[in-house]
Amino acid sequence: MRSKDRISYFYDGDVGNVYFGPNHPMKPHRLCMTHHLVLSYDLHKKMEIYRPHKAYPVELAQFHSADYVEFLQRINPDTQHLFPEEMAKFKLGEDCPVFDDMFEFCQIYAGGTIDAARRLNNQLCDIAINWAGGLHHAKKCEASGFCYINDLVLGILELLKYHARVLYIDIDVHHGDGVEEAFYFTDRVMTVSFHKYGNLFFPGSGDVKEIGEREGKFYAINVPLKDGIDDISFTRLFKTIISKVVETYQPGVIVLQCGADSLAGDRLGCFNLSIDGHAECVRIVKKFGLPLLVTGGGGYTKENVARCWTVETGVLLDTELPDEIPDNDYIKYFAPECSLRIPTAHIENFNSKSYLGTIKMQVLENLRCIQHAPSVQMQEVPPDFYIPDFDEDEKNPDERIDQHTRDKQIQRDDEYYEGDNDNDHNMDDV
Amino acid sequence: MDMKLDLEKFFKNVDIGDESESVDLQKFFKDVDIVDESEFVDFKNVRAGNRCCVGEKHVGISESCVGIEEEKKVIKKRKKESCLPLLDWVKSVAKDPCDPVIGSLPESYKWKAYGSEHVWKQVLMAKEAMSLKVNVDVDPNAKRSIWQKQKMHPDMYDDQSKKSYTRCSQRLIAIEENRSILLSRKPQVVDHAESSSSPVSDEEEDEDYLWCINYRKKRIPLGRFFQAEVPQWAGKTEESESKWLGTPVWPLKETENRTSLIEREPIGKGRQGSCGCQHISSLECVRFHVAEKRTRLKRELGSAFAKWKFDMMGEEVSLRWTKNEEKKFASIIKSNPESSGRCFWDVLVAYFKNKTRAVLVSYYFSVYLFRRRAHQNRADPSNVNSDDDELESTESILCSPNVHLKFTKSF
Repeated sequence: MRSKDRISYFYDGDVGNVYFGPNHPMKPHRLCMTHHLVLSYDLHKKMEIYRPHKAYPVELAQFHSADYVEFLQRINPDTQHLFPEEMAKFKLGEDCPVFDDMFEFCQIYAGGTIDAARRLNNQLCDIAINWAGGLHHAKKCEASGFCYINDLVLGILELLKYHARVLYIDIDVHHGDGVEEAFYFTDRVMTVSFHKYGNLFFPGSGDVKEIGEREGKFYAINVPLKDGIDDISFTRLFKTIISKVVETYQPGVIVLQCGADSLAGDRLGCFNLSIDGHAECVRIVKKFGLPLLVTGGGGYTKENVARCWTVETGVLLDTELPDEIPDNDYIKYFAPECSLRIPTAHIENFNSKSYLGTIKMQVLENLRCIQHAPSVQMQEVPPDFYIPDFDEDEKNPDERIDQHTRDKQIQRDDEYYEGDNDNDHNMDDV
Repeated sequence: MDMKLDLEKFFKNVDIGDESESVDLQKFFKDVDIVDESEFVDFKNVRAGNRCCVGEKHVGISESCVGIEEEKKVIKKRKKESCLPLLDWVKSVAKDPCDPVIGSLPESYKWKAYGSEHVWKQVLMAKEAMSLKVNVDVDPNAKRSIWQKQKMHPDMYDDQSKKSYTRCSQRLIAIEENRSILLSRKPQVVDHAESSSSPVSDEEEDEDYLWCINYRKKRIPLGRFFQAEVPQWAGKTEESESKWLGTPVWPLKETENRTSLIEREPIGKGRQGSCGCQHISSLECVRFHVAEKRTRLKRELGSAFAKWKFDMMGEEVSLRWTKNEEKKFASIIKSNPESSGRCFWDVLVAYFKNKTRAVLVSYYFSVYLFRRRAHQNRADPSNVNSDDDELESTESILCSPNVHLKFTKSF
């Protein structure tokens, strides 16, 4: 285990004062509440807090099309009626309304993720947090699902300047389609998304069969889940899959989107995770000891969002937080219990063991199709950076190849008897 | 018929050439593929600007090209040995898909029931074989991985959900039914029916539709309008911008005066259960302790307090509002519910011209909703909700007990 991680945390005081409109579920004010709660637990004393720069349009255009960025910059609520064609073309208006200071809001949350990536690249911190980011639905040329600019793609593009392979993990209840689409055809980014799938649930993509194509084939992983998944099922599946992914893919850095709408009781979500269950995923990822960029995402019951991301800030700082929320300006939002943890709902878990087993099998089978460290030599990866959370005996790279070859051997013969392993000893080279 | 015009327009783009020339099968199958994969929009003949509309058009084309009316006669049997009739059929379809002489296809879910004596079935099988071939050829690992060929092609995995929607059709649904993330609020009732079928029975059903999987396979659109530009990795050649790394706000700079009078609390300390107030947990008690904590935080944070706009948050924000202004704020919200078709926010902005939008948002969350939530906590703690902007409440916020603040306005 490495010595204490240095944490960089990004926050801008203006980010919480934008308003999507009445009855819109996305409330950036939840970021103010989160920041307040983090401070009320004195967590700021264990980390460095930065105000991000506002991302310039040219930075946003590193991924997004120039005309889309330009339109976002100049449109406002008073003039939107003059541009119906562009509004339709860029999918603005309903889920993604045009509101005052919208572009500035995008610049702030995108700037946070980009700055976080740069700090990681320059090794100024081990973990960087931007709760304002994580807007994973935005596409290259259009808005989607309350997301206008895809800060995750921009952050990953920044990380790709310094790292051969980037792993993206998404635990928002919605499929991380924007990020997956951006990197669907490359093996330099592996996207892994755990989400609700089926029954017209937004965005409608994220089937287990979406595995990437061309050079990116097998470098997209989707874990489609049904309503009501609980802590035990989710964290077990998460740990199994992510461990295998990190072992196989050997990324240089991890980006973790922590959408809080996968929590129980979310206004738009349908999972049954407690805050501890959600935070356990963060704990699992942190344990790999790789540079880590953590962002927010969805989350439409703002008190629970604040609770969740505060607990997870604590996890990243290796600080256990007591349940009683300290006095702060938003204390009444957490009443009557004023407790940091939330109860899970008494709802049915529609994810049967056999269903989860099937999904897991398909995912692991797809993972076997990836050769180790694609497009880069194995030696490129500094071994001391990577501390696996499983069988320590597997550290020897030679043994690893052996295992891989053995797998291939078994598959080629299409037999699954243990006795076949004996053949390996007769092999000339392994 | 519009559909026919669309079809003709589409097939004009397909390069058939002279009758004497053989049809470029690979190209044709690609085109057919596009037609079936209604969301594969980055086709070279398609303008990017029309990509959404293209999807719409292509759904129509797909239905009429591949699955016309089932009552029409199926094509006569062709000899298996000769593939020329197959090519002739393909050419005729390309020229005039709606020609009744060619015949029609049954609906896709019935395809499996038909044997390969039908030429259209041969065409579909050839397409399937070619798409598999194309995928294997593209795979850079194809040479060494004999075992890979033995594996199930991902295309042939069971489609777990018959109702899986393609991504473009999802947009179509969004356009047509005005469906959006907003509307997808926990459709639990319907999901019950879907989820109650076990995975095993899903698989059994789906085996019948194995044939259809290729044609309903999701396709992420490919092209410069969708993907990020990812360069090949050639080591760390590019320097990550070292200029924009964020402006440090905390911890405070050495030069900034830090009072040493602040009580050092252990990090992560929770709320204390007891205090010296006369009525513990009363409104006054809560307000007092919150204000106490806020004062301490302000001293500790120094310049960061203002940088994080903490001076614009909290119930103290109301101290900068007059009683009349607060009353007006509440009454505007109450008299402009969503059902009225008016947006209370627009009315607020129009009325309070002297206050910025940031100030209005801040007041809304820090004071208005906060007090409403406080009221809910006391009136009905089991039914608290601060996420619905308008709540039909019999109790008006104006009737809340008027509590005198125990501390001065300024800090």
